[in-house]
Amino acid sequence: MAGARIDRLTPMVWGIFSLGGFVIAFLLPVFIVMNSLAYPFHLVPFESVGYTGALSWLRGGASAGVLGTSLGGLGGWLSKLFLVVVIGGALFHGLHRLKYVLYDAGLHRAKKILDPIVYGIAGAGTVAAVFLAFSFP
Amino acid sequence: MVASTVRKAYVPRRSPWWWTKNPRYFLFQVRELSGAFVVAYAFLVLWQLWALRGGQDAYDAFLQVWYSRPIVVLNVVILAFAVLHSVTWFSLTAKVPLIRVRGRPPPGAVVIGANVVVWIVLSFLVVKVLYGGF
Repeated sequence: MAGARIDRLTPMVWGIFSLGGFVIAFLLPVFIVMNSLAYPFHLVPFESVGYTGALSWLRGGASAGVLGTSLGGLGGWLSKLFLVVVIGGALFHGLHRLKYVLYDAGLHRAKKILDPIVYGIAGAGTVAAVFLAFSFP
Repeated sequence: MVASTVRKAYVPRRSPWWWTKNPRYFLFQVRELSGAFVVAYAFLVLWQLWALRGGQDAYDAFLQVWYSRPIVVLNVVILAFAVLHSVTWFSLTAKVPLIRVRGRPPPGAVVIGANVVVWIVLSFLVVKVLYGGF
């Protein structure tokens, strides 16, 4: 059938939604604890969350002790990749969910406008995460 | 000729507070709302990275805000929504028969239990490997 259009986009965004759902279900709570709450709840000293500590974490300093000298260089990639995966997963998953909340609120008529905005923000945020995370030497 | 009929379309009316009428609807709506908090946290982290890129002074100023009481409270709320997402997501995966054992999907409790085990192990690994432990 020449006229039939196959919707390839909808299954794809649902797939990313699902993948993001798994990523943040497994990784987001522990990341919030370590990144936002560990210091105020006295689990870590200020040195590990201050400017030097944060930079060192991003460069894999914190994981170097565990991974050892041979895998130490991997740590920096691991931290940055972790950030990108968590931010991207959160954006694509959360915004997809919000889109359906907005549909429920009556915006389903604005689907043609809402969809590019929602996935545009998610895509732009993920690209920003890649550039920001990997801009640190 | 097509007969024209006068029909009065049925327009269902729904109160904006429909989700407060039933605990199940309430949990559904709160779960969907977790999306907003998850997105908010992603942007907070982007802001954090931006501040870190700005150098020592910019990051010190950022930390003043980051560890102020309102933001810490906000982060506790975001954490609560993130955990709600995890728990509801794990129970959701039990409804989707992704794998079959002897032609049948495994019982829900087993799927949820396996998810929770993976969750604990991964969280432990993140603390241990990525953050070098406490």
